Amino acid sequence: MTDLSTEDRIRRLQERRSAGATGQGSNGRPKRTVPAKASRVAVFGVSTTIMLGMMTGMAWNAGLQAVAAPPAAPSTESSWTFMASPPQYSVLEQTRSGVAAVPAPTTVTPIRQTLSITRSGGSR
Amino acid sequence: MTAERRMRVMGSEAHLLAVGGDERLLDDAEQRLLDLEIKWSRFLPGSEVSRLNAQPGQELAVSHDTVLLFSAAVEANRLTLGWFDPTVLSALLVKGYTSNRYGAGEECRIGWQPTAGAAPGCRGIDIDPILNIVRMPAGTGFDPGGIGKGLAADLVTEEMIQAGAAGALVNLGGDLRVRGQAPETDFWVVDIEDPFNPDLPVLAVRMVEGAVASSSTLIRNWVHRGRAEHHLIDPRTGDGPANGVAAASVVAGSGWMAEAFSKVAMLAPTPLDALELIDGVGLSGLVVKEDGTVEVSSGLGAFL
Repeated sequence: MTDLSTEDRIRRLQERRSAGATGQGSNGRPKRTVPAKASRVAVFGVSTTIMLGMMTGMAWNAGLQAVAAPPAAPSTESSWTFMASPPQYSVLEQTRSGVAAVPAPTTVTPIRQTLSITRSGGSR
Repeated sequence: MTAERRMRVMGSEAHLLAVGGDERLLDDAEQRLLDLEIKWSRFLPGSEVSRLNAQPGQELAVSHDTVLLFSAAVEANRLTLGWFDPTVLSALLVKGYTSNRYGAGEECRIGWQPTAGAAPGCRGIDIDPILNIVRMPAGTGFDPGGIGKGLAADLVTEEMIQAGAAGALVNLGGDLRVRGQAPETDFWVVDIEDPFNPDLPVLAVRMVEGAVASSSTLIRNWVHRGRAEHHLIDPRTGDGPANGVAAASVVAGSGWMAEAFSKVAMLAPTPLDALELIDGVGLSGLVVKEDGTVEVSSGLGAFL
């Protein structure tokens, strides 16, 4: 993570697209896709490295550059300015300093025992 | 010791875990979630959101929770440059999402005639965080939708920790937040559901702290005037997306942000656009395409 704000990241992303950037991930490698079946196998014990190795390359969709445009009329302005708000917004303030979650350590740990903790799958 | 509870709230199945907590702590968490639903549901006529939707143009005193909800929604709108938009209510109503199909409540009541088309946007929403006053502009409705669930998970897990839990999980229909100590290992594990086969996870993410939110066109759909509809609306057009994305999940630092970006991922013109956006803002996630294949963002590997 750099110290870029989320807003800066989005703007840079759009600037890059509008300049004709091709389909690469943030690491410079082409985007990859993985069949659902392969990823399931990975979850149940195969290391992440193996799972990524199973991913197949995917050609950049030629239509992507055309569809990367931002909303035609961004409705982002509000009479309320977040940056000027007082600091009692603990929930919101927290996300300004770091938008990403904290991953688990990269040690290889059996996780099958906890897979039933909870799940995310659309709003039910 | 870990206390666990499942309940229905906010039109969703909820899953609560309190590590190092007892049933009393979960009682408080459950009551808090119900309290937030009473404030935020657009299907309850007396809720603060319903009052604001019914009286556009008027400044109304609301709770600090509701100020936070509107603040988060407007902030999400700004962060996503308008792709996430809580003012799609009018389009949702035109498409027939007028009553609560999944929980308590009545018909959604608004103070104007809903029209199809682009969402009016957040411009003109006034929020006074000092006096706890919100004003919706005329002709603009607010749909708390998923961002309300994400924010509720943020708030309630924070309060569970403050009340003494060593770790807390609140999962509201797939919008979830984890904090602190996990029940069995050093990290939390969240299955990402396969929308085509809910019995099998697409994959599982592991995190020490954070949130996951998922959106799908395969859930919360209905037929209105002979046409299949669902709850995901492109704010630029007022129509549902047609981009080949069946579901999207985003891992973020907070529930409201994960929810906002999972919605945006669903609206991206193509699945790769969705991943590009997720990567571009420093988040992680995946999309499940309509053909059942899964594409993951570059950063998701850290969570697998």
